[in-house]
Amino acid sequence: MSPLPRSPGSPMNYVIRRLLLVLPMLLGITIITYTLVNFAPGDPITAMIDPEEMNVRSADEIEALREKMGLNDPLPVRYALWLREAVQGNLGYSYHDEKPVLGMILDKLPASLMLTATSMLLASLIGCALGVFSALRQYSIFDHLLTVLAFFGVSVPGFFFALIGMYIFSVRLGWLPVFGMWTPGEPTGFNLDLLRHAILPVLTLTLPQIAGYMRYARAATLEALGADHVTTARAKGLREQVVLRRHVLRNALLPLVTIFGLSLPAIIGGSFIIETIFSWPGIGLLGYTAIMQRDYPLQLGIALIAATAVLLANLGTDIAYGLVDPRIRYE
Amino acid sequence: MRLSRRAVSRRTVLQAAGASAAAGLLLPRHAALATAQASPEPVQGGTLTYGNAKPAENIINPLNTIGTGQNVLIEALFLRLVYGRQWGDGVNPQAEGDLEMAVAESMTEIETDRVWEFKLRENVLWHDGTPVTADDVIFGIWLSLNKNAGGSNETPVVGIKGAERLQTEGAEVGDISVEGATKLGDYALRIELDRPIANYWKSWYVGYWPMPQHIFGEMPFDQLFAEPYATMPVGNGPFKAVKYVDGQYMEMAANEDFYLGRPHVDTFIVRFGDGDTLSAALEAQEIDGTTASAGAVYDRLTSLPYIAGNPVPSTHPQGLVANAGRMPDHAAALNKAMMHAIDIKTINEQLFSGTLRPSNNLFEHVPGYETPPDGFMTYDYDPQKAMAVLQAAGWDSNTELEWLIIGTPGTMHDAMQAMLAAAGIKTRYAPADPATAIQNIYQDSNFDILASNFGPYEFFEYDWKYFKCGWTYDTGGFNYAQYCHEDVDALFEKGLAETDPDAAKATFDEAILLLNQTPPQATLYRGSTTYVWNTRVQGAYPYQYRLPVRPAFERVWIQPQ
Repeated sequence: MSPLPRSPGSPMNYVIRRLLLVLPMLLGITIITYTLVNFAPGDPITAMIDPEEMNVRSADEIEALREKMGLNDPLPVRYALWLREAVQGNLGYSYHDEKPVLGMILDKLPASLMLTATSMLLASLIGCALGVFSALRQYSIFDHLLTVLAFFGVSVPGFFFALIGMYIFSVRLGWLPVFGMWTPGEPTGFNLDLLRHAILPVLTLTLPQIAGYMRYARAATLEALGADHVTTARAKGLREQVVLRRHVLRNALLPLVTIFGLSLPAIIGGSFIIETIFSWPGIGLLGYTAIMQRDYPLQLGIALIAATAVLLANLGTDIAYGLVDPRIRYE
Repeated sequence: MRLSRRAVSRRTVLQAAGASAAAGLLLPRHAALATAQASPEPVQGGTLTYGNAKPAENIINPLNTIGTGQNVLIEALFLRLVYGRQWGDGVNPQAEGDLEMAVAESMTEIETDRVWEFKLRENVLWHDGTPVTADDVIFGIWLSLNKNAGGSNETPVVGIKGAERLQTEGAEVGDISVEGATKLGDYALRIELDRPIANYWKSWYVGYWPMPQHIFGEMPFDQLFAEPYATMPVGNGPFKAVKYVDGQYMEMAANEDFYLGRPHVDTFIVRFGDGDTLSAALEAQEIDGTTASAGAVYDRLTSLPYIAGNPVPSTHPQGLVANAGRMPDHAAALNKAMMHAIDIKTINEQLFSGTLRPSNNLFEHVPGYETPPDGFMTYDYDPQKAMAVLQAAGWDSNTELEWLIIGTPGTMHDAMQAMLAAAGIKTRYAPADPATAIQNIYQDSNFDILASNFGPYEFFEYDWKYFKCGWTYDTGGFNYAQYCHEDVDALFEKGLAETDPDAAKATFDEAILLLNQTPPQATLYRGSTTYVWNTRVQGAYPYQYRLPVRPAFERVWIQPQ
């Protein structure tokens, strides 16, 4: 493949410009996140201590720890120090585990990617198929049924699906494991046991998204069906199958590229809850634990990685949109 | 009185929604499962799976612990010198009794409550086969106290001679010596405290954990709590570490060389999860035991034919406390009035599955003081008396008290608030994030009233920290309610210095009566840790939260289905 031309308005220039814009956005995100994280009530030291068991650390020890962790320094100073290290790829050490943050995140990343990537793929495929099907049979009983289900799916939070799924398929029927990633005592790694444990978390992340995709796909298909060029195609005597495939679906599915990219933040957010419920050891569970423990470096590291992923996904979406739709110009 | 349950837990949502979704559609999978009848003799083999919170840190070492996530593993893998009391023969530990010798085979008291000599068992081995010796015991004490080792221990070695020097100055690697711990032979040592402490060895919070000197003796301190031993420790308990999967589970195997004999089960697995998830896992029979909140969840689980409830009394004297720092003239009266105002029996029956033990006695958990002295006054539920107490103290019933709540108010808070209001004590909730508990309670005393528990320790020395005049956070105490009664302090000082046990008891009894008349907190009840077990778990229920007993892991056996 030859490199993209770098003339004004070329995709390569566009990408470079967008990448340059990502940097100040990331900087802004880190400032906001750093401030919010530090303004949250409590601090990492007090969060480490069971209030009922104060004998573990004396007031002096707590103060010494606070000093050692640099928590007594002014906020801007701490942020500057963190940023200086972060730009060099050092996200610091977890206050709690005293391990490198980046390593902790990378350790957990595959588990989260497995959930998020699978659920995004499943949601987009199933959601689009059902949305198109619904539009092609507008006002039929299927359309009404799917519309009701879609609204249900959009309205009901993911954790509710998780609890229902856990109750029916694990507790009552015993078909699927309640929690965890592997059965204790069984081999770990990518195996059938892992897939079996992944079914419920993936489904609960997928279901609410299917509803969203379905509604978008339905609306876009209906819009495309009413477009002039479709009427023209039909007037030319093209077979309905051809009209649908060439003129309706191609246009109808274009906006879904955007939805695909924009669904990433929702999935990352959802994984915090779903991973906690199912004890799935991914970024979400790590992030939840970091928040509860006021582990600032870990919280910031996760926020930074998540923000980068979202910004890059947005960029990727815009580029992909231009590639699939020739009407889009990179300016 | 009927209390409504306003608080809706995730579990409640799960039950209601699941029941609706599955009603008429799904047959209960477990309906056909009858509770297995225990065979009279223990069966060898099988796996015990226990559900617990994830360890706060991936460090399984008695010298670095925060909370039950680590403690349950430590209790299975490690053995102390002695334990506060023996397990007994039942499924649960007995409520009182003699010390249990563990690594120690016997102990001789040389000087009352201060100096002891220990003879160690020669058949207690580390999991790598090395014998546990007096050197290991002394090394464990040294590591626990040594500032440089960087441990953070919920069961510290307190009061031993020379502790302060190690805690403040520290010692270098290899410089192993503790003034109060003297080696008398490979399997014998003497322990000497700074001053006498009654009930010293009875307390769960006093932990003498031998540590394997042959492994850690020359190790730099920054590697003490690192891998490979952090999650695969070499212990001396009934189970050996086999596999630790971060955030998922720990697998342990029966220690063939355990000094009391090989445990009945082959494998002990502790799985980590969220409380409600673990309840679901127990119901699905994926795990054999866990803890469940008393009330709706506990009631539901124990209504199943294959789950048995097991409330184990805890030592904490719980209730509410009025801030004497803010209300010096009314705090004691408020504490008395709150005890009269709250119908703890109804709360217990309707919200806690009957697992609370109502009591106004602050020291019921201290051995020798289980029964209060003659003249001890109980504060029965009587709102009229509560109002009379307040009136006599000149309390303005229009005053609205700020009730600091760590977390979110629950049904119990609502019930108590209504009962307090009925007795003329107005309150408003001030919820606070759990991460701010230390600051709000201990540092700032930022409350008018607060749910409290004044001292779970088995000895007065530490319990005193909750109400000794001026012993606040800044000075190393826990007196966050800023209570002060100089006569009580004088009696405590006298009692602690007393070497004659009878004279000490008489002094403390006098102090208890004074505290009863001017209570530092409204002591209402002692709670229970509500365990739930699959009925296939037989022999003994293994893990008991912060009780001064060695959990009898080796006695557990699994009834074949």
